Amino acid sequence: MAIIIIDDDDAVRDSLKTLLSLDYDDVKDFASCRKFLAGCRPGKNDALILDIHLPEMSGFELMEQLTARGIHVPVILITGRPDQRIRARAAELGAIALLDKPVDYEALRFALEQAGSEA
Amino acid sequence: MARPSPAHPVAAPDSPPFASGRLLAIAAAYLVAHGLAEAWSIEPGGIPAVWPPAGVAFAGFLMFPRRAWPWLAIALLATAGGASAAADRAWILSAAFAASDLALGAAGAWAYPRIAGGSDPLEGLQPLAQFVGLAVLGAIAWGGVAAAVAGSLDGLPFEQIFQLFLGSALLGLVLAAPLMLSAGHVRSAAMSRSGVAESGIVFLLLSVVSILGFSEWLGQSRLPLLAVFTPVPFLIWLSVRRTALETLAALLVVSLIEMWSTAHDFGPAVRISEALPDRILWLQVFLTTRAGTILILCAVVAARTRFEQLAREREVRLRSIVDTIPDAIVTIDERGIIDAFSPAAERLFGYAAAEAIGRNVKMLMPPFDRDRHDDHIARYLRTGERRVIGTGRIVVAQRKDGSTFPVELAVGEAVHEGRHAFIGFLRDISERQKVEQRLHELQDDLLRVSRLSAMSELASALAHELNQPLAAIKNYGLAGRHLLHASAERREKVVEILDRTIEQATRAGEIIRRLRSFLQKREVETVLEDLNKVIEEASALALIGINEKGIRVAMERATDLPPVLIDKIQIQQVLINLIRNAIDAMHESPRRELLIRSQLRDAAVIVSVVDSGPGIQPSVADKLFHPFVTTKQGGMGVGLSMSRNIVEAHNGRLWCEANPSGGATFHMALPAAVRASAAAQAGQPHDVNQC
Repeated sequence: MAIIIIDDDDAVRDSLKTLLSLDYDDVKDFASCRKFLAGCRPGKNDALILDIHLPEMSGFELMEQLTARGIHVPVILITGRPDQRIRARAAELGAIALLDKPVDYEALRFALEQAGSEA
Repeated sequence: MARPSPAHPVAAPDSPPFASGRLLAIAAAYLVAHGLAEAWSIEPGGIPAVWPPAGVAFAGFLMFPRRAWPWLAIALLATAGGASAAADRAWILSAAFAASDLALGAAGAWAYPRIAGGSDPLEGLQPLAQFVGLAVLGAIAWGGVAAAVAGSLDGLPFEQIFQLFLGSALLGLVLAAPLMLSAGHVRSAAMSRSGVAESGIVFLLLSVVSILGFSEWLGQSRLPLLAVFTPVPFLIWLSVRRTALETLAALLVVSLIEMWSTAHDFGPAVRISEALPDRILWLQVFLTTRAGTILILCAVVAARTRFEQLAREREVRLRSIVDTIPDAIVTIDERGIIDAFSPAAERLFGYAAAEAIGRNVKMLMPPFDRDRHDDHIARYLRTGERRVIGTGRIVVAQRKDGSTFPVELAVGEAVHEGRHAFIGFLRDISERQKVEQRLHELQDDLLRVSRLSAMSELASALAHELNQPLAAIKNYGLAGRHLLHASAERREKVVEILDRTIEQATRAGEIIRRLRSFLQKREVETVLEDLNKVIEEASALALIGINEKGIRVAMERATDLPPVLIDKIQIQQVLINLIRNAIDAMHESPRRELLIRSQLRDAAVIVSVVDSGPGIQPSVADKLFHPFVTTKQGGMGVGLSMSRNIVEAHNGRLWCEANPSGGATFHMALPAAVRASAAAQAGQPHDVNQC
């Protein structure tokens, strides 16, 4: 199982990768959705930790793209400003979890376990 | 006292054509004049020494509107007919007298206003000269006609008869006409009791002296001319102290007494010449000389009085202006001595006018200005070099109690007969300065409000911004703690993680520091700044959260910008405003590109913020910089007006224009503090930064 982090903030991305690397063997990270699409083909067993607010292509847009390409991968969404609309959209697109920043690590672990069990 | 006034013509155009009262009065005067002339006409042949009816006719026509002239002519003719019937004169001569009176009166009354521009010969010396000139011409005509009709009277030659008639007509004109015109001009002015008493005493003395003198009561056969001169001082008295009317009436009284005495073989003319024609001639000479002198005096006094009245009127008006003007007015002479101190000046300085006048104007200045003031005046008088005259400037003044205050001083100058007088207008501007200070404070407050409102827009972006390092710190912290429990070689990584944690904590602190300095209320301070650096810092704040909005930002910075003298925080406020506006404007645009550019153009540093939004609607464009005009939902509409205020307070300019490719560009031009090198002005290289 590979964990893929997509976040445009270098520090956030790096710290999360550092933390997850302690528990998981395969942690990849990308600064943007475009780079991710170009450099990675995720599978059902993988898990995506995806920031919603990204330049160029947002997290939601990426999820739509993946669905359109027939790629099914569990997605854990992260947001700095959660509101009703975002929650509704996340649920609609079938995200496993929507976590607030700063991310509660236990909640993230729990979501990742869910992702694994769903696979 | 009532003086003839040119503003009150005798014959007002709207007076009724048949003013019966006045017509009767003139007819009566004409009759009296006839009677006097006849009563004291001197043999042979009843040649009148004086013929006042001519003067009465002239005055009568002058006092009546043209429409009423026929009535006047009829009344005078009727009177003349009645009067002549009583006189033992050839009827043809009486008819000639009457016809000549009317012709002379009408012609004179027609001509005189056209020549003199008024109807009062005693208005001044010029109208009097014009009257006398006209009277001489009229008398020549009158005398010519009368002499021609009379033919030879008692064997007298034509020239002598003509001379006598000319003299009597001329005397009649100068004695009767001005008197009647003066009477016509008299307005019912209140006469003081003492004035009337004075006139009465003078009249009495004059009559007594004249009667005594001309009747030779004192038997002054050795001094026959004494009686000619003794009345003159009394006449002068009246002309100077009393009215022209009274003077002329007194003159007439004296003349009548002289005529009466001469007719009864007394008096100077009789003593000088026994021969009849010469006696009449002498009488006419005495009368004419006296009348001429007194008329000239009356005219001079009238002109003088009118001038004084005008001067007084002007003085009163000027005084009321000086008293009303809110500015203090202080006039000084060439030595700096105060000679006038207006009520406003009394209020302003605390000195009474009596205290200030006669002292040097230096007393109104603080000590450090005093010493130089004499030099300023002296230098100006010597060289004409002006310091304050004609321009005005702000100086410090000192009150009586020693307190000082700012005034705006304007100095005017009057030169009269080579002497200079300086007129200073002073306006207290301490109130104005207070108001300006208050305005500044208000503006500061507004700026702060505006910063706060910009802040609330920034707040959510900042919250997100702060979240990032906090999230990272939390992750690093968790990882570090985890690693501390792990094996020794993995523990090495903890140092690295802690470093990154510190870095993120610093990042969060930096955000908070920027926020705080932005929110602080502070004094305005202008410092020489590198505008590129200012732009950089402002952009750092304004571009927070820009990435997630999908906006491409480009910076174009001129490398060799001269410094600008600015208040950094205020200018940053403007820049943040412009940049946030640009970002907001592109919210719904497909293409989102923001360009921030600095460049040097004509000694001004120009910062331009270019967006690719929808541009500015023409309906808003005109009042874009007015306060409370906004295109944003929930915007207060103070940003751009505040921004323009700030920029203009820096002697700069803020304006906007449409981009050829869509969107709007806002330019801020600030004056360069030092002249840029020529090289920098000519197409400097740009270092283009993408972020």
